Amino acid sequence: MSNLVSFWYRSFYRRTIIQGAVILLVVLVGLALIEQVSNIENVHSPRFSSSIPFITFDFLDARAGIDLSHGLIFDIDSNDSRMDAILNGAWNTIRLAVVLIVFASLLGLLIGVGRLSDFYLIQKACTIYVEVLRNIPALLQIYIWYTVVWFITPPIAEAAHINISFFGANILTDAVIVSNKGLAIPWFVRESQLGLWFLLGFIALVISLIVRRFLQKRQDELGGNQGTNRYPALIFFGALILAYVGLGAPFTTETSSIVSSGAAGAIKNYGGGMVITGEFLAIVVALGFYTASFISEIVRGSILALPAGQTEAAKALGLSAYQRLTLIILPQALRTMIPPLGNQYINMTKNTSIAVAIGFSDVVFATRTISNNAGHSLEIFTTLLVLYLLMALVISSIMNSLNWYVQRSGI
Amino acid sequence: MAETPQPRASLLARIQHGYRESDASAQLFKTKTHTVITIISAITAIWVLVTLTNWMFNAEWQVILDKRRPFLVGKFPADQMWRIWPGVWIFGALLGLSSGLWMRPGKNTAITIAAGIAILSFLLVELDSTAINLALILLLALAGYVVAVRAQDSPSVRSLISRVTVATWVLLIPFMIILLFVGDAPPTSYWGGIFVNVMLAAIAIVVGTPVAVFLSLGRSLDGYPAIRIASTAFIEVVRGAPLIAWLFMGRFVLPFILPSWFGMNEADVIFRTMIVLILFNAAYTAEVIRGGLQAIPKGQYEAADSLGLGYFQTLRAISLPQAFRAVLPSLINQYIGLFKDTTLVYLISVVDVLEVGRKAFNELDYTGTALEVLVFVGFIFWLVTFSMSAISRRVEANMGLGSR
Amino acid sequence: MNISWLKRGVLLAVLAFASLAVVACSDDDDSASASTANGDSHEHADTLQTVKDRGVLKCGISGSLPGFSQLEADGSYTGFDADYCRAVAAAVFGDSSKVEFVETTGANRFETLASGEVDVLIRNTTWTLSRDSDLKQSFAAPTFYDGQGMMVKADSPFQTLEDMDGATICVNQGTTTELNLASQFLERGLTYTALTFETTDLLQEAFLAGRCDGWTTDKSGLASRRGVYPEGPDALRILAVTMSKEPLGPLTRHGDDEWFDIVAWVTFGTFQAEELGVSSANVDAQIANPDSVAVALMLGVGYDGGDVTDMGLAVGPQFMQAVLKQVGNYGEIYEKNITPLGLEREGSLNALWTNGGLIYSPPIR
Ligand SMILES: N[C@@H](CCC(=O)N[C@@H](CS)C(=O)NCC(=O)O)C(=O)O
Repeated sequence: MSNLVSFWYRSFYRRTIIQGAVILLVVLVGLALIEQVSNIENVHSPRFSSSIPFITFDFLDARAGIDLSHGLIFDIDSNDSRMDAILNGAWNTIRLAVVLIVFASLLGLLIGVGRLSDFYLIQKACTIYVEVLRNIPALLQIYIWYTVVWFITPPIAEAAHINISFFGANILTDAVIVSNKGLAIPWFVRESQLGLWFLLGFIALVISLIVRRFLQKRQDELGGNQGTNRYPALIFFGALILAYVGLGAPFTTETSSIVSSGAAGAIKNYGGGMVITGEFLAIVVALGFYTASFISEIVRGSILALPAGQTEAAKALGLSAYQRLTLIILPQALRTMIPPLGNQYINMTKNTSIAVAIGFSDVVFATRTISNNAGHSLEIFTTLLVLYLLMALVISSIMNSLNWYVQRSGI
Repeated sequence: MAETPQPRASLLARIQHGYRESDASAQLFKTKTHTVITIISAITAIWVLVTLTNWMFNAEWQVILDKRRPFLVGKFPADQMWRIWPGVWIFGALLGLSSGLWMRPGKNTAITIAAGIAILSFLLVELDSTAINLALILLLALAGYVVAVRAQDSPSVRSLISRVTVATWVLLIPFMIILLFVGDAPPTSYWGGIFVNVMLAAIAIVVGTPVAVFLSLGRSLDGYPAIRIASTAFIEVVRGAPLIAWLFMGRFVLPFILPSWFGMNEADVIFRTMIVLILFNAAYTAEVIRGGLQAIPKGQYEAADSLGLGYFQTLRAISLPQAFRAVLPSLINQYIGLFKDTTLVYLISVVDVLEVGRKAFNELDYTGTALEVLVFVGFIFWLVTFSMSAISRRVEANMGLGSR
Repeated sequence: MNISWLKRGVLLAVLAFASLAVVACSDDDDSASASTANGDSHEHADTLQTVKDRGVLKCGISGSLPGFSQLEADGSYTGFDADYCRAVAAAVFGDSSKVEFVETTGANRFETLASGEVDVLIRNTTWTLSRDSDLKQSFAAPTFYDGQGMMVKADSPFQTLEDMDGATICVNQGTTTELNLASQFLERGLTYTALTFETTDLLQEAFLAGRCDGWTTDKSGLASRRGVYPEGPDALRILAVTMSKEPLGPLTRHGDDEWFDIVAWVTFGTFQAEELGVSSANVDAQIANPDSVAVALMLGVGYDGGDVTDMGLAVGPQFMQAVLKQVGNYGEIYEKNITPLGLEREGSLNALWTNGGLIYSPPIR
């Protein structure tokens, strides 16, 4: 008996046995699952039972047959493949996530700072905001905003046209058009020289960076101010101005307008500009407000974690409150903020999937439709999983390099 | 991320004068800027309040009253309610007892929660068994609280009560499950309303947390790479996709890939949902707990080693209690998040409280009451989650986390 | 972040390799497993037994389509599809009340059926090749021949699809109508924007808000939803155009022929009964004294004192008796549920074949 015990306690054997058992278990479970799936597939298509591997992604190459709405950049149509439809959905998710990250971060920053504000009512308002919004399910908030969007927007025939004017003079007519078909704003139209522009811009950038490096070296050797920032900037912007004179603008802007089609012109759509659909708007506002309540907590926590002496010193230097906030407090708080912010961004990207509730065609929506037309739930689910993992991977690597940069440069 | 206790001071105040937050009210009219901002924000606040009150009194609340049963329990038959109420009574009593035992009383918290319940009963004015039962819960909670506070004087009584309370907490969910399934019980497809949200969250928490403990231990286990990789893989893959995706997976793919003896084909949607939520919650909770485990200084393990404690003894006596204590706020946040996430189960046809509401305002009789219904459901969620976080703050305060 | 991207990358690679290895291994013993895999080891193989053991038939329906399947205030379901669920239950149990209705959406109905959550799907579902082969479902027989229509606000000037160039169209996710919409507009060279919704409730909300110019689905579905439109049926108009063929009917999973036969022949039985003039009103008299040999064969009784013919359907030769007593024949089911929607049967594809329609049962013998 005691022999057995001491054998057990010799950790090498213990580790080997326990881990061996775990590996065996995992492999057995995996095999059982695969066996299971292949059985089902075999029954469904008995003739191919042993020759064709049961997992196949070929069906994704077939014609999709559906049109996905809300597409902005790659609007696919029914002749594209199923994989295109899924990627289009993924693209919608990414677009939503990027807009949300910007919007929620700014709002969260505002609220977070507001909660520490000197002004009693602002501080209380921000506290109420956080305590209310983060305690209500995001899905419910999406529904509420969806209802509100329909409630406040006029039918497109009576769309509200908002002009930007300055002392009576119209600067931009139809700057924003609001209706139940969405929000139309001016957008860029690329001109033919856009490619050339990019090339020139890139070359100018490289040259100015080289010059900057050279000047930096000189400054290190000679001391004094050698214009390390001034001259490169001059080169870069000078080149851009030259390009503008020589090539014309890389893109022009175009305001949106309402175009009629169909019988008696009864169908009205936006033409030109960028159209933000009501669904997109409702999701951005709802999820943005929701996530901002979490981000504001991160901001607040990071600011409060700063040693008080920092601000005292800044005050002694005679910086104004605004300067202290932007020059001293926020840059320092940013360091502690980045890792939890990264987690929030990943969570939010996953949360965008809630948008299927109001019919936004994101990646989940697209995969659901495809699997409803083509079966293969398992393969489609795996695709979805990989797409989300990729997105999380991209966000976390961006945030990691940001973190690395901030820690290193010590702004 | 674990929230560290923070000195409550306002930013600009700290920058300028080192004021404390509570002093902000003293300077409403301190300078011209202050006065202007105060007036502007006061007017805005009054406008918002007036608009909201106006809306509240003009809204069509009839739908809430008519549908209060579905909101509460969905299609669950009226003559079967005896399967649900006892658990809720016990829950009320336990809440009272526990707050008396372990919470530092907070005036604002109590007032807010009481006001919330008052508004709720205002909306459910009709006196019927539901109203009576709700009142009974309040009464039981109050009684529990009084008993527990009284018991503080005598250590022996206190320890007895706290033992009983803990044991009852542990047994509550099994007890409810037994009541719900014993005899000729209604099928789970009849479950609905807020009852489903609470049951799903409770089960995911009660079953998922122990799983999470194992996962987090597995992930931080030195010298067992296989176990570490398996735990890490599970945690990261589950966290990789949104809950919606896993819910679809649980409903439509799981039955295919699990062998038939697992009974998934015959299992109903609620059961499949439970499994998904348990595993989902476990993966996230594991990360929270791991944070707590990492926060324990190495020296403690060495001390335990020199005392001759084995791995599991060390766990029980040293690491887990400390880890849980350290991460309590994040843990509660995770649970709150899970509770809010239970609204997503509508996607796989579970009729939770939000879905009851959506079905209600889509009925012909109630057209145009969407906002009323959504606000009501939002209010219920807010009440529960706000109470949860308030309770966790009071427990923290009592554990002395804030004054370390 | 809890894990650096490098670690994540390695993890992914390891996972990928592990799964590759496992897949490769399983390939080796495929030939061994194939012998057990074919046929009887299928999980859903014995649906009839499962249903009998459970004591209740699980039937997938829509639940929000008055006339086809609709939840009533008392918790029961009414409608054409709901009645076909009852007919199957009557054939299996002799009791049409032994049905548990499971509400499904257009987008989850096939998975609900495939994963074994329901035994049969009777949810205005169109029979198509891909649903047979890709989705591995078996359609019993069309019970309602329909076509896709387009519904617009009554005061809009649209008469044809060509009038709707550039329109925004509301459609249900995962339906044939979503696919037809795309091909109809593509063929006609018209542009449009599809707004896709998983539930009709949500679709109607958007339509009410003026988000879409048109609402498309099966014409029967349009008629049904028009009847319960919040602004009244007169606020809506259904265009004359028929955009597709939509034969709707009950379906079961691939791989259980015995169960499929039951569902199919209960359906045919209701056709046959109408053709032979047997209804819930006279079925008792016909059982006692059948008019013809065909009636006797259908009801599983002897003709003129002769013996009963058992044709081997797993629910016994008398399965149609309970169906007809408790639910009725095709004409009765149609009359009760579809006629109130204003869909005339006379002269439509849903008339009996003897009246120029397509409702036709193969012989029961
Ligand atoms: N027959 C078509 C369309 C079926 C369909 O989507 N029907 C709609 C209206 S006819 C429906 O059931 N909607 C109810 C819902 O999904 O809530 C198909 O099989 O794909």
